[in-house]
Amino acid sequence: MKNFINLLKKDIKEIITLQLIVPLLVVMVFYSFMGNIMQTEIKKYAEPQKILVVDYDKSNTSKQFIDNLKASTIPEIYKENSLNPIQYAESKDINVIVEIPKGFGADLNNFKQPSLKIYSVMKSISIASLSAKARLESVVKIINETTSNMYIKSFTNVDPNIIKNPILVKEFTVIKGAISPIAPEAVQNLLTSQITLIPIILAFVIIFASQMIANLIASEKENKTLETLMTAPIKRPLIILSKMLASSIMALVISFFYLIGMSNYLRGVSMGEIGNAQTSKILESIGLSFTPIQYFYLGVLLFLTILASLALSSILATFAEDTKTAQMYLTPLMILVMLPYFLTFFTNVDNLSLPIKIFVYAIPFSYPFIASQKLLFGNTSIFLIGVVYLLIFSLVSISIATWIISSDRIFTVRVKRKSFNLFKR
Amino acid sequence: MKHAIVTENLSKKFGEIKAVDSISFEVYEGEIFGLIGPNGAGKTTTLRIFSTILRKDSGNVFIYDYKLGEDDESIRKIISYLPEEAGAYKNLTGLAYLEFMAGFYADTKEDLQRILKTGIELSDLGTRLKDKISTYSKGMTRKILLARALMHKPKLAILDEPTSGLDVINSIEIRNTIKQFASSGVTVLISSHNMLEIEYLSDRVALIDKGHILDIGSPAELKERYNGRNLEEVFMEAVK
Repeated sequence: MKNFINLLKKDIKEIITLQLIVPLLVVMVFYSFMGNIMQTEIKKYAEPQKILVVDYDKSNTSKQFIDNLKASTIPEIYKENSLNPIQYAESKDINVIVEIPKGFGADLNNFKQPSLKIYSVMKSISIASLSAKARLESVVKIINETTSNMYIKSFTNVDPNIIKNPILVKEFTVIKGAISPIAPEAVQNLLTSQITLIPIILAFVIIFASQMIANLIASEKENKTLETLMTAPIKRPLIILSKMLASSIMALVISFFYLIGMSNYLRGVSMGEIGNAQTSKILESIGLSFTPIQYFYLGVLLFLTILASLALSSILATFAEDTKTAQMYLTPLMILVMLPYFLTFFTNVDNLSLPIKIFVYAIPFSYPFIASQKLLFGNTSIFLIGVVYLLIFSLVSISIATWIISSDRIFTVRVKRKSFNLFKR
Repeated sequence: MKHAIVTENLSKKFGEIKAVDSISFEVYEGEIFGLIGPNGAGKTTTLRIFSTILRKDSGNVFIYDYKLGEDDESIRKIISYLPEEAGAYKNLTGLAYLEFMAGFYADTKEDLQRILKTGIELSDLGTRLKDKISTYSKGMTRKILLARALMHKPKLAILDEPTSGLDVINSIEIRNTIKQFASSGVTVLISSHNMLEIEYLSDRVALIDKGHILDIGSPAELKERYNGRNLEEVFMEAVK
């Protein structure tokens, strides 16, 4: 135990370098900074935008229309001057111009469907360039709706809503056998906003842990320290096991810091919807929030997945002569982590064709990603299958990794890849 | 005289090539035993087998009372190995490195301090021990590695080309450290292709070439036997 702690402390010191701390801080600050910028920008464009109104009609109806626009925009009436309306809008940094044609009011009152011209001054493809137009359109839509209701009412006493929607749709979502009066799209949106961070955490921890252990093992070979360590009075499997523990501890610590930055960013982008307490309460009321036992299941799966990835990375790293090669050898592993991450993000794994489904379930990293969704809907079998599979996978991989380090293969494997002359006698 | 190492018909192959071919020799307790031969003679492979890094294909090796291949963990407690191209953890300071390695051999805090004190003295790096190893010159790195190898006073120190690539001053300092340390009763098995260095350091020498032991004796005996003025001339005669 004394030797193991000695090794563990050294391995953690090896991981904590300036090269690790600086990018970590930069990423944390960057994400928080980006989140703040996004939040400020989104807030800015959520506020009423200026629009230029060119009123050629000057009727009571057009004036009423302009008054209605004030509900969600800041209309400025164009007055004849040396600049035409477009030039004037550009000079005032107004992006939307609405032209009310002559006879607009009269045509509207006589069911002649007058046209309203909207010009958008496009300067970029940002949200801002389209937000003013979207707001204008929503006002026009409301006016259209109100006018249409007014027309219907002038012909009949029936509620215009019934004429437009003769069938009333009431939506319910059945979750774990319980009926909730919420549309499935709304549930999905709420759920996405709450569990977005979980797969990100999973991917981060697995990737960080794999990279760290590969670097630790490969740098022992690269810096020629492994031979000395192998002749020290310590059980050789402990050399690998201390690196596994050091990597997983540091991966969790680093992921935690990344997550602080990432959650600040996502909160900024989602305007506070992600991780929102109110959203959590709604989900809880319809039985779609993680219970402590489900968090425990996820934790166990994540632990076993990290174990599997560490063992697999250790095996790959023993073949590498330096840290660069080790990182290269990890590329297929990273793809295998990202694959279930994206698949569970965009589709239901169970809807995939059988060969692809088998492939996805054969990837040890798939289980926490799939379980993070299935557990919510009361499917605990994924946990049991995952635990059994990951335990077998991890034990076999750790056995192979410790067997390699306990034998002389960690030194001789290089000989087989290159020519014998490169091996010193 | 008690044996520190007994080697009987030791062989090791890499693929089809025999790196060590049925070699036998003994090293006595407290002596400095030199293995000399050109590059690729099989010196490092032999030392790596004794250090429990490589596994032998056949033959028997006894290190003190332990049989190699059966009592490797016990062997690792009494030996120390300094590889030719050894490195140290660059993110650690010299002192932290010595402390880390001392931690494997110390049972108590007092043991740790005693081993560390010896290591600090042997390294002779003074205040530079507080600097990161990445800032050390090759000579300084070699000194700290030698201090690491000897500080816990192993029963058997296995040193592979301890002065390889060093300048004259650093080489002399390291040779003196080895000689001084061996006088305290530590058995030293040293390899080098620098035959003059081995002649200066060793009590007995084995000439090795192409995986075979050509001859064994004290430098004086070998010089007389082959009528050479130094071990280089002896070796040239022996390989004829």
